[in-house]
Amino acid sequence: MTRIESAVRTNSAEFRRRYHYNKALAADLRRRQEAARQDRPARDVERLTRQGKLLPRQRLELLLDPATPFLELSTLAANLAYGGESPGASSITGIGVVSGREVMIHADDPTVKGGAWYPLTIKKIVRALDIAIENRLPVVHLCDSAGGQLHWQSALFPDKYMAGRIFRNQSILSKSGIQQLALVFGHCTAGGAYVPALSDYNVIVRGTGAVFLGGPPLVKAATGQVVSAAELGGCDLHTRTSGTCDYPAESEAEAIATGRDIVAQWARPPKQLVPQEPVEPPALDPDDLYGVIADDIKQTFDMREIIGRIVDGSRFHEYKPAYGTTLVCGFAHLWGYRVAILANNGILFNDSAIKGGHFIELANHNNTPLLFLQNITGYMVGTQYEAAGITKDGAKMIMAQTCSHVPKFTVMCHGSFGAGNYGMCGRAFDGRFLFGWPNHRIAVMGGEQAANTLVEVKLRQREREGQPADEAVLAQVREETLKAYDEQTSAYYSTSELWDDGILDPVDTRNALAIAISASLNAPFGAPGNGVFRF
Amino acid sequence: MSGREMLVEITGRRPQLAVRIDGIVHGVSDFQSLNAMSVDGAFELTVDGTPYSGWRCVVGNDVYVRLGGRTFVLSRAIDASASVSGANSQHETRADMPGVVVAVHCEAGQAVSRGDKLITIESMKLQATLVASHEAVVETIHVSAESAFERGALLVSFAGARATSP
Amino acid sequence: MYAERYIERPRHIEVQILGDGGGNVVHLYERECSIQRRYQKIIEESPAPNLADETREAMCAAAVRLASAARYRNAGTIEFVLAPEGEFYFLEMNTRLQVEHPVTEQVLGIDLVREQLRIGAGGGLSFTQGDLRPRGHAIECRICAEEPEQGFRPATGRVGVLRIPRGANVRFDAGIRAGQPVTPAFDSLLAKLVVWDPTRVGAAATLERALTDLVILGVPTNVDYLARVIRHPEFLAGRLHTGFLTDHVAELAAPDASQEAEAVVAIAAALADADFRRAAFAVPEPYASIGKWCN
Repeated sequence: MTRIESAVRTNSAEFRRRYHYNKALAADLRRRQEAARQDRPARDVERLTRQGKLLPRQRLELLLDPATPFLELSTLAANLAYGGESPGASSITGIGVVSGREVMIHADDPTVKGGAWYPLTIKKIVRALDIAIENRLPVVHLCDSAGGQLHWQSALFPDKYMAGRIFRNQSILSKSGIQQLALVFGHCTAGGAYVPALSDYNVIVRGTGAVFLGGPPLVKAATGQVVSAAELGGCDLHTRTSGTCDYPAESEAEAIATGRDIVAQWARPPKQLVPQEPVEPPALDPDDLYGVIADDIKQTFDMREIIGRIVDGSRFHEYKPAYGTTLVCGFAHLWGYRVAILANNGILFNDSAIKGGHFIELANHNNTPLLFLQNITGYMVGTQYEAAGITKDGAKMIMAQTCSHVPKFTVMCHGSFGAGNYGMCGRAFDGRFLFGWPNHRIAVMGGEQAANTLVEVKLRQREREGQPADEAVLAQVREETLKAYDEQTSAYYSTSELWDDGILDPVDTRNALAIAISASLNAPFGAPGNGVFRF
Repeated sequence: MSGREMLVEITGRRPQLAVRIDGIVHGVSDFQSLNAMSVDGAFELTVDGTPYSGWRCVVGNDVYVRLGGRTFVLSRAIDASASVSGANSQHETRADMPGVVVAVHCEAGQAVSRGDKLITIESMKLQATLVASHEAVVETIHVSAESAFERGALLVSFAGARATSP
Repeated sequence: MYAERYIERPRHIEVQILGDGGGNVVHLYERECSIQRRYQKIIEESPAPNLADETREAMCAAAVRLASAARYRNAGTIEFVLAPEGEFYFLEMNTRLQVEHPVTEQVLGIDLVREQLRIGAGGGLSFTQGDLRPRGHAIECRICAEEPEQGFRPATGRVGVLRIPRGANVRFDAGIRAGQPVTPAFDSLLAKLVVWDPTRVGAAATLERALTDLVILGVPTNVDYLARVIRHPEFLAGRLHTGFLTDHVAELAAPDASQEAEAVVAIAAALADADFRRAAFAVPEPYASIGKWCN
């Protein structure tokens, strides 16, 4: 492996301009995340404190092992939805260490509308459990929710991947032998009652914890019976009489301590082995990433400069360097783990698509996890390329990528447009984790291109209708398209809709991927096998 | 220790274990194997580069450490695992099965310690003596000798009891 | 109604005797037992320091006279109160072997228990007064299960770790073994640590070293307190009286430990805890190396 030599001049105008731009984006990201994590109406915080409850992040602090990292997923889920009513989609999910065990955390956030579930809350929880299933991560649920947001019921109840999927996933986790622990800090009502019930172990706090299919208001409406939450489904009833709950706790701190002790009892199966070397930080300065990343979606940059600031020792073994040069492929180590990296330095041509497919095969044969660093606007178009079979070649790359049995990780570094997103392991392709940088854009095509296309379409339409080209109408089409794309292709929109697992500050990418890779190795690699390659 | 509460927080693990006490971070290294660290007896430890050796012993909630010819006693500030035992809460003793009272060993108003006998019951030809699980004051004895009771029946309640459902 | 002279700063001096029941009584010299807390002796020595020879002879002779007049048969101790001006007064006689008898044994090279049993078996005394030649100095301290900082309140627990100090002139008479529970059913005395040296200064130094080497963990003890008494300049000067411990209570209080020592102790204690050890050592890579971080 040779050390990547940087060709970037840190005192150039371009570098400084880009640095300033990306640093500001990172600062903006931190501000938004901090607000989503911490800003809550004082009234809601006070209500919790009055009830003797801890805030959800305080619970996390006590639950996780001291001085350990926490990879929080989709911090900014729902940031552009519901008028901003649901920061973080009213829940906290992420990967951390409890009693020395890597676990997936799913915590309700009762400081947001009592922790009630919005449609995106469901999507976030289902995604967290999907990750737990794919990576064989035990799950710790911190339950404290008022139940589903009835106002949104049609978007959170009936369909396949809505609320029921949470309980289906819990059952599948259990069937797969993956442990779950639920800590009941507040009410688990209706569907929510199934979270502790479907967990292998659960702890309930006396006084504030309660589990019932129907809460006191529903019971009164249905049968006329007047009963308190504690009587209906409190700690004593469930730990002594019904057996629904396993461990009583006098306080939240005690519940968390009990939970930690439970996790400590869990068997620890061996992890999938991948080649590892002693860890070395990158030789090139990660802070330079801000100056390398372009400040305009149409501008490019050399992905080797990115790779060199993420991998151990900045060392990279490049594969087939002279062929298919718009796709950089090679091996490197990240926090010691060997990874196979594919990174875009331009659009995909026949040769880069074929090289990509071949390299993906090599990685699979080598039992090496794949890392896709996306900056792709698509495949080359035109008769020359079609004649040469670029559609076939793109299909082969997609087939190889999809049929991989090694874990796949994707970071959307800049552009993620069209079919390029597919070949480079976009959301639909079962990558274990998908992150984006704050500058990235994702769409079927770029805004400008879409606007041009739609204007062209409008022009053709008016020609057919025999109407003159109206500049004002065309301008309006252009402006509306650009505005819609600008709003809906941003990193914040994507993460709001949970099309990814979170936005990362570029300098955090290395640590985030280290945790992601480590978590993924809890599941053994599947059996190799491919579909048909159209040669 | 000596009436003062000390918090030992782990702040790092590489390249050596780092802990923070009273706002100061200390590096800990060169201790014996983990097995040796768990056993009463002599210990060796390097803290902030200086090697120390001493003696240590754990009795219940207390840890005795002898260092530099001086003995220290520390108690765990929070016993997080202390909780209800068995089917009984801190304020009640209930019957696990139906039976008959053989003898009552305490009376209302009596202060009892952990392990003190409360009542002896008999069920299915088996006698059992129920004891106090912690320090408390007996408030009411709800049964008397030779009275029968059902499963879950309240036998003894202690001061500070809240109403709970069986 | 009794009227007794009130003596300030008295010393408690006692004389060991052996009598064969036929009027033969031998004295085995004196012991100083002035270091007392709650009127119980905790440090005893022989010979008594700073005691005029005439006073010693007079006390021993008085003890022999008393015991032989009673035709005493047994080992026994006559206890006196010695006033600062030099007069001594009879306090009481203990007609048995006492806790502090070892210091007499060390100084005279005699096994008092054997002598006592010999007398009981009808064998009489095995030596005469003239055979006895006291040599050197012996000091004993009583190791008790108590908390000196809490008014010497007796304590319970278990002898988890016991390490006995070694040495040619160090004697450890113990009623405890490692692992033994210490319950309220018995007296708080756990053991007697006795040293001998040709000089009193040497004996104090040997005793201090032995108290430092002695390890009893699992129950609070007065070991460190006794070491502070032995180190006290007034003790080393031999200026003793029964109010010694009360008079010097402030100087004998445990000094603050250094911040560094407290940190090491806290770390050693934390590492005894299974949960702490798990939190410290069970975190896998890369989490252990990344440390505290969140994206």
